[in-house]
Amino acid sequence: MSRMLKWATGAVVAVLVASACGGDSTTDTGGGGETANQGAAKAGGSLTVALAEDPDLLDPTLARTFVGRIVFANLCEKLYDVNEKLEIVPQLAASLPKITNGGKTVTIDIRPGLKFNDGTTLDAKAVKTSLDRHRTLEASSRASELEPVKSVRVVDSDTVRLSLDGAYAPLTAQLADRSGMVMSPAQLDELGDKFSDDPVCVGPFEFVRRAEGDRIELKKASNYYDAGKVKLDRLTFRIIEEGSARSANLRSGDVNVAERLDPTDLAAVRADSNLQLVDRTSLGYQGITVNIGNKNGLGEDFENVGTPLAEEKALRQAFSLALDREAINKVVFQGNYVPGCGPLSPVSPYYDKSLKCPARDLAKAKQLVQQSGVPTPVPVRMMVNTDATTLRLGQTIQAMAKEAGFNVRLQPTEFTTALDRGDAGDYDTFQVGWSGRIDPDGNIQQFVGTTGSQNIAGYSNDALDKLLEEGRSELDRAKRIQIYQQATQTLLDESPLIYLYHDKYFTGAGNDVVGLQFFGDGLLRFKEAGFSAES
Amino acid sequence: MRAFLLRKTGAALIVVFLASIVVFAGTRALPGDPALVLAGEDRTPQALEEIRAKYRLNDPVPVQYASWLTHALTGDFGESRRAGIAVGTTILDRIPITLELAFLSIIVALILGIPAGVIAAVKRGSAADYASGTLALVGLSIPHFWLGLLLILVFAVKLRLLPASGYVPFFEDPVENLRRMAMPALVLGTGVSAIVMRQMRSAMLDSLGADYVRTARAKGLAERQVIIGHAMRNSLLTVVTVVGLQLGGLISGAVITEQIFVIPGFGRLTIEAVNQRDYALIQGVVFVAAAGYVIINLLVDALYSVLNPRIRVSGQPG
Amino acid sequence: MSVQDVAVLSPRARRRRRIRRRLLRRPLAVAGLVVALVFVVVAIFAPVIAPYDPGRSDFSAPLAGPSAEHLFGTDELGRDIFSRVVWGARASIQAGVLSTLLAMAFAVPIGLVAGYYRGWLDPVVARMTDVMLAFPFLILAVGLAAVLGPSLTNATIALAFAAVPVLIRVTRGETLALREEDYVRAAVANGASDTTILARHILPNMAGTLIVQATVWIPTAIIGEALLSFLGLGVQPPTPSWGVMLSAAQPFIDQAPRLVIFPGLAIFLATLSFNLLGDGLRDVLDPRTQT
Repeated sequence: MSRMLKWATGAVVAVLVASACGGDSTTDTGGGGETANQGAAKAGGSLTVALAEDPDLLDPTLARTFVGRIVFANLCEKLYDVNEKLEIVPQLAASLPKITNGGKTVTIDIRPGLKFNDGTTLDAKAVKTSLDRHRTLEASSRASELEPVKSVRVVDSDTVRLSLDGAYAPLTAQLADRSGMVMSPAQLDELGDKFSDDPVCVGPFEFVRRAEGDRIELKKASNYYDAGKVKLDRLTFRIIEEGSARSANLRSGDVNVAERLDPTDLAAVRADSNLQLVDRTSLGYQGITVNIGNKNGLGEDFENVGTPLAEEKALRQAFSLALDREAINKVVFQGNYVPGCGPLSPVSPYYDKSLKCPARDLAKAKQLVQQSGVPTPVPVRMMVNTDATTLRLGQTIQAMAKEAGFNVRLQPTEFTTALDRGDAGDYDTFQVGWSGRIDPDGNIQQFVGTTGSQNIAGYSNDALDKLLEEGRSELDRAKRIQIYQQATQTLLDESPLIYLYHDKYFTGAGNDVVGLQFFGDGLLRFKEAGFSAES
Repeated sequence: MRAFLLRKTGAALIVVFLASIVVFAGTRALPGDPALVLAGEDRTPQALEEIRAKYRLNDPVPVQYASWLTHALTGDFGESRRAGIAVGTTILDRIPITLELAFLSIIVALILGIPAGVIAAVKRGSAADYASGTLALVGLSIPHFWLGLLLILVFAVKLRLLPASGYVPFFEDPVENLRRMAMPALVLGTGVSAIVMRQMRSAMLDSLGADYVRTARAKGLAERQVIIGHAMRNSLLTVVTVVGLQLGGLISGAVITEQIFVIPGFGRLTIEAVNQRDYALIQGVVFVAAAGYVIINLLVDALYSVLNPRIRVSGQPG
Repeated sequence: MSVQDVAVLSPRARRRRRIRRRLLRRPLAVAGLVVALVFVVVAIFAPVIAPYDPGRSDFSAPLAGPSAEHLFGTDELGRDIFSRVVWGARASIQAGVLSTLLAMAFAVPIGLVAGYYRGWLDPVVARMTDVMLAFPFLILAVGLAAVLGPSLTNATIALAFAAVPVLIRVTRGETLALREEDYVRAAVANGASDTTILARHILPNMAGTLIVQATVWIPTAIIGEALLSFLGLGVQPPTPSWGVMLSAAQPFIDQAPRLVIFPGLAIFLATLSFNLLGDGLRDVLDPRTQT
């Protein structure tokens, strides 16, 4: 699995719309957010979840990882949350925010009588303390998300008022993620920037202990306002990075739930009658970025790097045509992902349903190579990550491209080094992906827009830039869909980034686990989860 | 004797100090920017700069080293970049797991190695001698990680007798704990058992030819008694020392064994720290491993020179 | 053999002959020698021996079982496992032999000089080796490989470097012992230069020990290469290496166990053969270090 998936849905709240794909018999493909089993949960029990990575700091202000959000979903509630339809709903707030003064004033009512897990009271002052900390703490990961917020004022004990320097539509979405988490001021006073040593929020579970790289233990919170719905006494997250070990632990019953199972392990999980499996298609994509003009490093002037793929658009098209995306999905991912050729995932509301990916056409690919006049085999260096799945992907691409006259040399590179080299422009092609954002712009502009912050391809196309600019300012959804259809076609033709497929999140659980909420955002909510009363 | 030990201790301290420099320099020489790991998908230039400033990644390396060393001397190895947890705490969390694994594998090694060595020596030149000699070579030649995969294949995949991976703390469930540890201990113990067997055999051959054994025989003691009561007892001392010297090898072996069986011990922590480019964690972990190794060697040296003043042993390749 | 025959041979040739005879009397050592040579030959002639291009994929037949076409079956990408095992010998033998030679080339001169001249140099070298030995062999190799970046060349260098401290110690110890020998003292008394003494009197007399050390290190380095490649720090795919094959096979262990068995068996046989040979040579050449 590509490493990009690990950081899925990072800074901006990325919310999947109800997944409507899959079609596998064991998967829950509807818009509902729960696991297949819906029996009543009995009170009590200790549930263990296998996480694919170790979360970073358990401090809402400083946290950056996707996996950390899974833990927060059970530990730290937010002013707003999403429901199973991925609509934003109030959580610690009493209602959706009142936006006045042309978007410059946002008033938030807070549910009265809330208590933090340490027993102290959550009031407007506490909300202000947290919001101010998010906005101003050194190295805060939330500062940019709340950048338009100029001040936070306590109106009364249940109301805060935010002043903005202009309308900022994504604010509510931000407050439905880590920016909206409220920390206990008493605990902040005591621990300061060591808050993650013993985080205290409002949540169905409270922090017990953490052993780095091994486990995070939570227990049922006694002061929680909705404690009646919480069934489990204990919730333990265990960090098991190897996909095969996550699945083995799930099958042996060592863990009750395992997230992000590897495609190679799914057959065994499906075959096990004691287990249930659910999936959600990612909003992101995986592809091959071609270095075209990033000769001098990201942020410097573009200059063609002079490789055959950089100079000849026809060769990029030939390379893409040489790849059999269906076969890649079958061989590398055992048919578990979704082949694709554009930046938008099929679950995106802006996805072009009429998009037909060109099938493999070896004859045409060879012809294009021949017409280019570049002597064969055409040399292509491809940087890939070093995990087993990506290496399998790389070798498959290599073998397929060889038949069309490309000599692909793989450069397996440890992930951070690869990012360094990507930014520096020290690569020919790079197999890399993106976890995806709900807004289509977030999947395109920063990568292939001339001024894109992660345009490591060094790609510049005035027509595309203009199109993307239109897409940003257009508010009519139907028109936007058209714009992004056009952008996708341009990208398919120009192929600065050769899109390959879209990942899926697979979560496995024992049949006795009920009430687990698994929404399209990929998070696991255990608030109402428990063990089946029947067993 | 005291002068000898003092000199040895002094040398060991110098070695530990130099090792700390090597560890620190090595950590900084790792390719890949740790700020990129921490930044996640949010890798804007400002975010990276803030991270570098926060963790003082821009300070000159000698300055970073001096600050690390002064803290390390008080037992404070800093905190991990990722989770913000004290490195010392994490190391103390993980060490018992690896120690248990090492302890169990030594037991495996002794159970397999000592009887084989004794039989080989007593029946020198017999088929049993050749068989155990060959088995010892097999034990030394088989790659740990492959043996681990084979055991998983047989006991977990095919026979479904043992879980393929995972770890349960001993005090949570001793039986499950031992079930998890069985395969890893066997993997780690196999290589050591070969060494134990060879040492036991040659030590037994020495003692069987020694005067006191001849005297015992002359006194008319039963052969069984001569072997167990006299020859074996003396040979065991050598074996104990050899086992001590194997601890370095066990640390190496634990890295890969813990990786394969997904045991959250010290060895796995090392790999995680390197993968995360978590400088504080790498420095703490590798430094503690190196210092521990030096101290164990010092103890073994001291023990051995007390037991047998004529010979001074030195470290063997891990 | 007549008495006369022996008489006309030079002492050195006589010794060599004696060693050969004694070695040939050990069937296990001979077996080790033969198998080790087979691996070397396979490594050299891999392109001739392998029936298929080791990188050629047949996507229609991944994970196929053994057949007449594919002796060991095909792997997860439909490549011929037998051909890959044959090619894998190259990486293994290269890493095993080259890293040992490299380590020797580095360690022997240092050990000789430190042991022969003593003085200030000796304790400095001793502390340096102590520091390197504070890191268990594999940790050192893993660390070096991580710093140098993953490739066969770098893995070879890392393994060589990790072997250096032990080899320095051995050479130094031998030199210390040999310089007290009568013939060396005699040479010194006769005014022979240091270079002559080191090259003509000391080095040849530790050749046996060094050869034994080499046969000990080659299998260690073979396992080391496999391990580094297994961890992703050595040979990189698609280059076939036994460690790479094992690492790629892990997710398929229950679907196709042979993916795990064949490359591992190759590593095991290669190391076993060198160890058998090394054991035999040790008994013959270097009885002092016998264990």
